[in-house]
Amino acid sequence: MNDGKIIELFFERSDEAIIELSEKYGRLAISLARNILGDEGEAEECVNDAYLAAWNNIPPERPSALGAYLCGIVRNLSYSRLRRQSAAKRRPEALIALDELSEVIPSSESVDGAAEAKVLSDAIDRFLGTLAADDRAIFLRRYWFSDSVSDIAARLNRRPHYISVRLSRIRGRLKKFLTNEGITI
Amino acid sequence: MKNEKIIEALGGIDPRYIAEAAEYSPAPSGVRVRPSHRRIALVAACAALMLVTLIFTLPMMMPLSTPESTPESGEIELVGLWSEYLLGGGDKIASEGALVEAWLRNISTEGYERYESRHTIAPEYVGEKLGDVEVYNRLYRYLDDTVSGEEYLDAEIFRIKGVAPAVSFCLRYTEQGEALTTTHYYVFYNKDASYRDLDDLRASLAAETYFSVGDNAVYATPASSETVDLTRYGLDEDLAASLSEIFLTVDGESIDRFDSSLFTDCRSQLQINVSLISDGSPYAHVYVLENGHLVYASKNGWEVFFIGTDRTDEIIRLVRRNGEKQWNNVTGIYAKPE
Repeated sequence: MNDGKIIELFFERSDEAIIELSEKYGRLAISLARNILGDEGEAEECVNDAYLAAWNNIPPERPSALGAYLCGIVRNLSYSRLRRQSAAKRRPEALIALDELSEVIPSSESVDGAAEAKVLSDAIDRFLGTLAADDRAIFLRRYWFSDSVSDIAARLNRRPHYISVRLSRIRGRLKKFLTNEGITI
Repeated sequence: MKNEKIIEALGGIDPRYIAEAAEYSPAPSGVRVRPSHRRIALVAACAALMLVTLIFTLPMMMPLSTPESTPESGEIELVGLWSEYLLGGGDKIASEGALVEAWLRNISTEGYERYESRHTIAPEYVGEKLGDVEVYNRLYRYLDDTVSGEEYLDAEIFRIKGVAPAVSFCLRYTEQGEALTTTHYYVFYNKDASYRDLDDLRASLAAETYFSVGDNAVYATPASSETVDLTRYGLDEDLAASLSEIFLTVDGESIDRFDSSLFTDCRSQLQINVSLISDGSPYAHVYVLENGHLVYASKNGWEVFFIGTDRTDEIIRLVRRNGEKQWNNVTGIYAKPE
């Protein structure tokens, strides 16, 4: 079923909406939550919460890209949950990926986190626009979906080493891009 | 704090890019460079060194290569990680992809020393309690061969429903450690387990319950003295069910010694992705060799059985006739032994 029809089901307040959403994007959403949380059970809970949030928000919202919309909710909920679990001393894939990215983003002492995040977000958007589609996919699978290097390699039918090298080069380009734009966080 | 800002910044990027990445898949054609036999041999060596290998990196073409080859230096980045099966964390991959450190777990109680663990199993598969043990956990750094975070923890062991405890069981810690929970069931498997024949393997591992066939298979045949022709076939539910039925019923005696010539001396082979989680392998492969052998390859090693050329031909034909052809590549990785 295409996204438009699923959204129509939400607008009709039909239970089928959740079923179809789950059919189409459930696996992706679980994978994302699992990468961030490192735990299957919690990932499932998180995705269920995301379905409820989607149900509550559509309508009035009418997302242009339903999969990205659901994943955005899952990602936010997963990181919220992860923050609450900081004492558990886990090292899920998401934190490993974040450390990689953190190394190439220049630091500042500013305390206005929200404003800085917006500036950085816009800059990353522009940077992504300069990348080829496959590089963009590799970057986002690693740092947005928190996929492991091995998973990305399997997905793209490439060797893990190839993906690691590509990521390293993309991070290098990002660092140069941000430096040229004078962006620090 | 910096990470929080990055999380927030990434959350605000254009949804079109997210949608693109969510659905992105490579073009199906074109030559792909697969891992060379040297690299794979190194992976195998690393795996042996680690003692425990959650890291199941038997790439698609390992059997056609020569496992005895000398590793090249500086290639440990090929080690992969199925992180979703880890609980408690502690495993760390460097940005280059190399496994830097991992928590290793061994039971120190006498009689169980050969059991190791890397992943968990769902509670519904947990059977009766078998006893109490002590587990030695430590954080091992591969790069400089050092151990830290050592701890001895008490735990209870339980049968995995239907599975012979001599092969595998699960364990729940009764005290909290650095990198694990007291609520999950960690599968421990016996590194020394072996099987008389396929019946013995299936019975020992409760294959009726835990065995499943994945959604694709790769057919390989040498294209020249140095290259191999690979074709991947998608397996729909009916075909996967047919293959499961064959694997759950076919007879075959175990071959004692693993011999790479089994692979290199056959004209073609089929690799099928399977799962048999009760032996400690979330992912494994079954290789069907045209010369009548069936190989079950898990992270515990290789189990080779002779099932006869009629049966291997039947399986290969079944997949080639009914599978959905997904891609075809010729790669330069085939190396027949001198």
